Amino acid sequence: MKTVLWILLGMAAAASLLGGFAVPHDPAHEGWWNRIPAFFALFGFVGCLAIIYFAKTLGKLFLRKKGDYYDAD
Amino acid sequence: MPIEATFPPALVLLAGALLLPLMPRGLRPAFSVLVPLLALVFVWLAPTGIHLTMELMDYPLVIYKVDRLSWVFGVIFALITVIGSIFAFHVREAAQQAAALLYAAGALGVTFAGDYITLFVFWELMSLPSTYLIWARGTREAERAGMRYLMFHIFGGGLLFAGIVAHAAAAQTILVEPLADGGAVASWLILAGVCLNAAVVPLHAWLSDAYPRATVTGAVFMSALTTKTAVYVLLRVFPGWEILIVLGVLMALYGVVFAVLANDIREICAYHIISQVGYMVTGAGIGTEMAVNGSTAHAFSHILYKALLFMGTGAVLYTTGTSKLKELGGLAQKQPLVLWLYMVGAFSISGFPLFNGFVSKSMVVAAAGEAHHTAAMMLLLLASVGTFLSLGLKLAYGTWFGPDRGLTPKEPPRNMILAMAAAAFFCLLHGIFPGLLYDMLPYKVAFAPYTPAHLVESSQILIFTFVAFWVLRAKVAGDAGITLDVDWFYRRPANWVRRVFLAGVESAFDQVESMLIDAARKLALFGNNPMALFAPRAGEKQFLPDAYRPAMQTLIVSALLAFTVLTVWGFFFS
Repeated sequence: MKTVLWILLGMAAAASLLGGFAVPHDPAHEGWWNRIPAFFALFGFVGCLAIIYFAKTLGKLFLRKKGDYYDAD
Repeated sequence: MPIEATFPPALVLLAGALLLPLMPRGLRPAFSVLVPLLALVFVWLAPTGIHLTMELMDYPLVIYKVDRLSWVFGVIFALITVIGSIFAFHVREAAQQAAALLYAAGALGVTFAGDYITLFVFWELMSLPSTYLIWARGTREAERAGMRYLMFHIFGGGLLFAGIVAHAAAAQTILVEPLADGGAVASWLILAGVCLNAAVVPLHAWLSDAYPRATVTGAVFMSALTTKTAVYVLLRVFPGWEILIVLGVLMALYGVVFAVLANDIREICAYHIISQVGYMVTGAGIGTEMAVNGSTAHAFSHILYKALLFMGTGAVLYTTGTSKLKELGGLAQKQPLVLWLYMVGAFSISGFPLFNGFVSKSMVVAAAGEAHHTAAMMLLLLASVGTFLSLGLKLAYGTWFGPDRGLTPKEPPRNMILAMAAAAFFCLLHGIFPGLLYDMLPYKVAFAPYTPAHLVESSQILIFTFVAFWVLRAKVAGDAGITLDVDWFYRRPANWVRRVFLAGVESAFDQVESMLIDAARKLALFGNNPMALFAPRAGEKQFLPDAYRPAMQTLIVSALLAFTVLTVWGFFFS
C-alpha cells in the first residue's frame, strides 16, 4: 500500500513537471520566472526549506521558551 | 411573487439567545440549531435594499441594509453558526449556547449595519460572548487568556469609537461608506480598530493567545466570526488602501512562520487564521473588483475550511484530552473519520484542486498579479507553501501518523462528525462547482480557476512542498514549550508594571496608612494625659486629678489674685 502511494506520488510529480513544459503559461502570470524550467517545483521545494529554516532559526534565537516562561519569577 | 424576508437576522439570533435559557434543558440544543437556521433563511431570502431604519437623537440609523457584499457575508455567518451549533449539540450549558448565538447576532448585525453607530453597537456585542467562550473552558490559563483577549478588544473598540466620533464630527455623516485613502485621523483610527479585530500584525497577538485556550466548541465560532466581520468592514470601508497590501502580505507570511514553531495543534490553526486573513486584507488593499471578489470568496471558503480544521483539532482534544503535538501521534487507525474530514479542511486551505481554497485563494493571488503587485503575488504563493507545510503535513503527520504514543481516544459524539461532514461537503461542493460560489460574489466574475497552467503551477508547488517536508520531517515535529509573540511586550512587563504601578502604589498606601495609625495612637495616648506635655516629670500614663491639684490651685489662685489686684488698681488709680 505504501509503495503504491509513493509510486502514485512520483507519477504525479512527473506529470506536473512535464505538464509545465507542455502547457502554455497563464498570460495573467507572465514574468521572468516563466523562463526558468520547473520554476514552481523549485519554488515549492526551496520555499518550504526556507520557511522551516527561517522559523526554526528565529525560534532558537529568540522565540522558543519553556512552558512556564510567563509564570516564572 | 417571491417570498420577501425583511426582518433583520441579527434580531432573530438576539431573540433566540434571550429565549434559550428559558427553554427546557432538553430542547436547548435543538433550539440553538434552529435559531441560526431561521436566521440563514431570512438572510438567504433577503432582497437588496434598506429594510429597517430608526432615529436616534438627530442621527438616522440604518439597522438593516442588504447589498451584494453584505448578503454573501451574512449567508456564510449564518451558515457557519448552524454548523457550529450542530458541532456543539452535545454541550449542556445554556450560557455557552446563548453566548454563541449572541456572538453570531453581533457578527450579522455588523454585516448589515448601514451606519457606524449600529455597527459599533453590534461590534461590541461580539466581544463579551466571545470572551465567555474562552472562559467557559474553566482552566486558569483560559481565564487569564480570556482577560487579555477582552482587554485587547476593549482597546480596539475604543479606537473604533474614537474614530467614529471624529468621523461623525468632521464628515457630518455616520453612514458606512468607503473612506478616502490616507488623510483624516478619524479614518486611521477606524482602520486601527478594525485591523485589531482582523488580527492584522502587530495587533494580532490576542488571536493566537486566546483561540487555542477556548472551549472545543467555542473556538469554532471564534475562528469564523470576529476576524471575518473585520474583513467585511475592510472591504466595505477601506478598499484600495495600499497599506493593507503590505500588512496583508506580512500577515500571510507571519502566520506561516509562527505556525511552524507552534506545538499546540489549535495554535497552528490559529496562526493560519492570521495567515489566511492576510490574503483577504491584501485583496481589500488592492481594491479592484476582482480583488474584492477574491477576498469575499476566500472569506467564504476560509470560514468553512477553518471551522472544519478547528472542529477536527477540537475533536482530537475532546477525545484524547490533549492538543499538544508532542503528546499526540498514531491516531490514524483509531479515528479515521476525524482524520479524513480534517484532511478535507487541510486540502482546502492548502489550495488543492477540487477543494474550495483552490478556487478562492487563487483569485486573490491572480488579482494581485493583474494589478501588477508582482512581489505581493509571489509572497502570497510562498505563504501557501507554508500553509500546506503546517496544516496539511506537520499537523496531520504529527497527530494521526508519526510515532504512536499509546493514546486511546474515546468516541467523539455523532453530532461532531455530522457538523464536520457538513463543512467538508461545502468545501468540496465549491471546489468542484466554483460557479456556485462565484455567483454569490458582489461583482461579476471573469475568472476561471481550472486552467491547465494554474493546475500545473499548483501541483508543482504542492508536490515539492511535500518532498521538502519529507526530507525535514523530523525537524518540524513539535517540541515542548511556548513561542513568544508580540504578546511578550505586554505579558513580560506585566510583572514589572504590577511591581511599579500596583505594588509600589500599594506599599506607599500601606506606609502612609501605618504612619497615620501610629500618629493616631500617639495622639490617643497623649489625650489620656495632656499634663505630660507641661510636666514631663509627672510621667504617669493616665491623668490623675489628685497629682496635679495643688499645682492647679496655685495657678488658679495666682490668676485670680492678679486679676483682683489689677481690678483694684484700675478702680482707685485711673
